[in-house]
Amino acid sequence: MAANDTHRYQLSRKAGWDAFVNGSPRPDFAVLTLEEMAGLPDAELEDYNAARDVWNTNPPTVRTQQLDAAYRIIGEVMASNHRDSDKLRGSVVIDAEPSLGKTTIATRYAQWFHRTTYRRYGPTTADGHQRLPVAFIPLTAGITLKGLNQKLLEFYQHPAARRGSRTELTSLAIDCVTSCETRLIVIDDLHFIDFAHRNGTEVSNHLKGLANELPVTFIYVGVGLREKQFFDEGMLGEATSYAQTSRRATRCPVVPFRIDNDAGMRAWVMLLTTLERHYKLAAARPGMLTDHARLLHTRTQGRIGSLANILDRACYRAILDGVECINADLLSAVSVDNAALQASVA
Amino acid sequence: MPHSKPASPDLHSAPAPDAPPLREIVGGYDIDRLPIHVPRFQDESLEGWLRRLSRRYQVTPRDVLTHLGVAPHPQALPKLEILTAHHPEAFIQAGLEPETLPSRCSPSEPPSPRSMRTSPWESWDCRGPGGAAPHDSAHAV
Repeated sequence: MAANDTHRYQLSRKAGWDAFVNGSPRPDFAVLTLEEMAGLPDAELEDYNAARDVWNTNPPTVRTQQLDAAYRIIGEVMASNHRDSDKLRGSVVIDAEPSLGKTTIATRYAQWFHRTTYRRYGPTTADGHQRLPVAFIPLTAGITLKGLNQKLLEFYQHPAARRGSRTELTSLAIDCVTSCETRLIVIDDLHFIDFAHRNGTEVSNHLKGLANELPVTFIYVGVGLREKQFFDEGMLGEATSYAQTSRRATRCPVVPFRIDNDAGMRAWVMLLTTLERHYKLAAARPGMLTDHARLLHTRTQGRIGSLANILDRACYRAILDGVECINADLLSAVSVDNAALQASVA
Repeated sequence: MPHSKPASPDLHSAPAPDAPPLREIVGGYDIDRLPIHVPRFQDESLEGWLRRLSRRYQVTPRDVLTHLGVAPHPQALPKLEILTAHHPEAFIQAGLEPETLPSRCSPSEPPSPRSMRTSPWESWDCRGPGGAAPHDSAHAV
C-alpha cells in the first residue's frame, strides 16, 4: 500500500524536483474480479480500493498532439541553448487557457531535459558544484522582484534565501544558476504578475536581465499572457515596438481537443483509448470511454484537465457504488469543475 | 588485447517480458548538499573554511551551521572539531571530504554536552597537528 500511495514532493525545491525527475513508476498490481473482491476481509478491501483510487487518479502523461506540438516549439527554442554565453537565448511562453495541460507540458519536458543532462554530464560540475540543470519556480500573487529572487534561491536551498537585500539576492541567484550550470528555468503561473503595475514591470525587467546575463533558456507558463501584455511589457500603442520580450519570446499555444472534424475526433478517441486501458475497475471493458466520446467532450469541452477530473471522479464513484465500470450514467452524474459545468450547460 | 568469452546470460534474473523497461539513473549523489562547493584547502582550519563558505553564501557562519541543522547554542560559540565529530553528515553536505573530518581536529576527550560549547568571548582555537593555531581562525560566528 505504501508503494502505491500518493507521491508528495514539492517541485519548487531541488529535492522535490529531483524526486519528481527520478521517481520510479508506481508499481502495478493485478485487478481483482468481483468474486475475488467479495472474498477479501473488510480492511484489505478498503486498502485495495484506496490503492486503486491512487492509481486511477494518476494516469500516465499521454503524448497528445498538443504535447507533440509544444515539444517541437520548445525543442526549436532550446536549440539556441547551444549558443555561446555571449549571445542571447530565446524563451518559450506556454500561453493558454486553464486546464489544457500547460504545466504538465513544461514539467515533462524539463524532466526529460534534466535526465538527459545527468546522463550526459553527471550530478556534479567540473568545479564540484551540484549540477542542477533545471529550476522550477512557481510564482505567487503580487510577487516582487525580491520575492522572485528568494523563490529562485529557495529552489537551490540556499542558506541566504530569506536574508539579504534585493541586490544581494540577485547576485546570489546568478551565482547559483551559473555555478550549478542550470540550463533551463521554468517560471510557472506567470499570470500572477500584473505587467501594468510597477512591481510587475520590475519583475518583467528582472527576468529580461536574468535572460541577458545567464546562459539559460526560460520557459514561461501562464494563462492569457498575451492579453495581460506580457509580450508588450505593459506598453501601449506604438511603444509596444520597443518591447524586447516580444522579439525574444516564442509563444507556444495549447488548444483544447475539437471533435468537429475527423482528425480532431480521431485524436480525442485515441486519447480516450489510451486512458481507458489505465483504469483498474473490475468490470472495465474496451470502449468504456470511447463509447461516450461525445458526452465526455460536451462535459469537458475537450480540456485535458477537466477530462482528468471527471474520470477521477467517475472511477471513484464506480468503485464506491460497486458498478466497477464507467458508463454514461456515471459520467452524467459526477460533478465537474465549475468552468466545465458552466460551459456544458451554456 | 585478447577478448575473454562473455558470460552466458543469467536467465533466472532476467526481467519478465512484461516488466517495465529499466531507466538509467545516475545515483550516488546527495541532493540535500549545499549547491555551491567550497573545498577546504590543505592545512586549512575548519574555522577558516567555514568563514570562506559563509562568505560565498553571504551569510554568517552561524547561519550556515543553522542551515545544516547543527544549530549552535545561542549564547556560545561552537567548537567546530566537536561539531564535525558529532554531525559528520551535515559537514559532508557542506562540502567537507569525509576522510578529512576526524584526522584534522579530533577532540582529545569524549565530548559532553557541556564541552560542545565555549564561552562567548573565547575565540575558536583549532590547533593543527603541530599544536600551532592556524592564522585564520575565526573570531565570531
